[in-house]
Amino acid sequence: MSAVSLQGIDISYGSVDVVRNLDLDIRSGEFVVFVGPSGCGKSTTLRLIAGLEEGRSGQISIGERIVNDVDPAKRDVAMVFQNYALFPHMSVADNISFGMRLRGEAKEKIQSGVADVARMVGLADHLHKRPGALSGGQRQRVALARAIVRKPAVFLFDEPLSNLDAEFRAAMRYELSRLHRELGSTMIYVTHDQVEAMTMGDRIAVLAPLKQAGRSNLMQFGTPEEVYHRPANLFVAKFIGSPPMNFFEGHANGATISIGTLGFPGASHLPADLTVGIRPEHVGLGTGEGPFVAGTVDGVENLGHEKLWFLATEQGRVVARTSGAVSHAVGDRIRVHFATDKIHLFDRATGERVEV
Amino acid sequence: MSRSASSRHALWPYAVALVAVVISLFPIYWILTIALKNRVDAFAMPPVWLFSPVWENFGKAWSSTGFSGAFFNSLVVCAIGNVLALAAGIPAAYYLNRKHVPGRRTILIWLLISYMLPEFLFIVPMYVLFQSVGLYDTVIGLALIYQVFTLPFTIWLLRAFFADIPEALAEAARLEGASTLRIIWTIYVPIAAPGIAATVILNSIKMWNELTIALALTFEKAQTVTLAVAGFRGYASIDWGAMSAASIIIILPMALFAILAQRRIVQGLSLGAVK
Repeated sequence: MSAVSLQGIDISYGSVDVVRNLDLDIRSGEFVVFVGPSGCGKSTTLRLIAGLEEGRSGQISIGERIVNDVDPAKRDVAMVFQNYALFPHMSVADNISFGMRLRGEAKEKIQSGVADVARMVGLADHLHKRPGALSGGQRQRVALARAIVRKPAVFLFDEPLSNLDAEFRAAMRYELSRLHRELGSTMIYVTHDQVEAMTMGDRIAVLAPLKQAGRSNLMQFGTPEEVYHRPANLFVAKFIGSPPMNFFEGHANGATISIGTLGFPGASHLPADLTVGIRPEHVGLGTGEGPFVAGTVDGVENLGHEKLWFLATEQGRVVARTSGAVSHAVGDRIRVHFATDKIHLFDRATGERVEV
Repeated sequence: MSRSASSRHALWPYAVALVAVVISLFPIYWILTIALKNRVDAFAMPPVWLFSPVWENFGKAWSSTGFSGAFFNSLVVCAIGNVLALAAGIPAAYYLNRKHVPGRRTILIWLLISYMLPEFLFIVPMYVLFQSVGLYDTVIGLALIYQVFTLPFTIWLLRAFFADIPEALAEAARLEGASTLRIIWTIYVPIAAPGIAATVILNSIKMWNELTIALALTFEKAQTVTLAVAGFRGYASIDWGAMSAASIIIILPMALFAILAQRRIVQGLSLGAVK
């Protein structure tokens, strides 16, 4: 168990900057998810912590130790790779014990260690098989077991679930969270999947590709609640949430914010040009409080417990999320309400969040 | 109806393959018949198609001066040549697969060019050099000079096999504390074993059949099988029977090797086999 701290990290491939000026303090025992679209430097940063990638500048510490010049094997980290990176010519047991055997640990210690983790991840019956004889989910467990058996201070996960099918992914998400509670280790998890980020992370670091991000890749570092309910900028607001937030061009004028003909309560300190965001679940259909516009039902996706509505309004296309019980027909003219207290305001010039 | 159409489609490739096999095997068949015929039948025109085989040519070939020694020399040259090629080629192939090796492209192109250079380009300078350093007429010297073609070939082939091994395997091993040599030895070599076997077989065939360099850089002690066969051409006469028998004898090890290792070669040469 160790804290991980990144300070002023810059990474480039040749002349291309991938990560710039990244500061991140991960607490000991925390489960932190790096999430972002491809090219945002999340995997690169993880590999930097592992020691598989070298930064141009900045300081990496694990626990009390600055590890910039420490060999990857001596950083006390274990990594689970996207494609599992299992040794295909070795049995499951040999895969798990690879590092222990390399370090020349005692045979009994290796055997008991392997048996313990195998039981922990449910592989006890497969120890003699080769990875090729296992399913994707089982392979991922082997990779996990290989990491656990080292008892590392920090676990690093590089999109470990992206090769699994949806059903397995959900089960493994749950298991990884359980593992984190059991082991209490610091875990850093890279994904492009916001569901994984929201469900597993104690805190989420949302990263953006540099050309979108500007000064630093880090767009927001906060709990799932903070990232979802108080996105720090337009990038986070667009990236987190599915279906994504609805956005409108708004104008602040004294104490009101107007979107077309709609008026919302504002404040005098707001910048004149705003982007107003509202999540689909805060859009009401037919009845409800707050300002409304007239709209036409363009389409509907029925997910059973909920419905997603695609609406054409004079403010453009709006997506709404309601319970499955709400029913309208395509082509119906209805009122589209916006919950006044749920809107998010962003400075259109900078993209940063502003508060009323 | 579709069945007969598809079977007709499937026939002509076999016909083409059959013709190719007959054309390529005919010389071997012809040599074999000469080896098995007596002296009169061997050159009868029209050829004698039915004859009772005589085996004495094989005994004569094997026991003739220098032949068994040359056979042994060739085995040793192949063995040393393969060890040298793998010892240098495996690490080289591993490094040339890394992304950030400076001058990687230049090295690879140079290797390809050096593989394509004609062999006797090396003969004249090497003749002088080998004489002066005492490598002339030694099996070691021959195995060394054969590296001019076996090493580039080995590196090129192994690089392709290694490229199929995900880099994450090396990284995972490195995180566990494995050195580069250890990674090569415990991860790359076992996984690419079919490819390495295929490389060894192809290199062996090339070295076993080599004539030009062996002719120039050996005299007596280190003569190889190809020279021994040529040696049946005497000053006054040629012992065709024994020479043909000797040819058959020297084809056997490689043919046997190829048949035994056929599965491995196919496995090794089909890319993506290690994933």
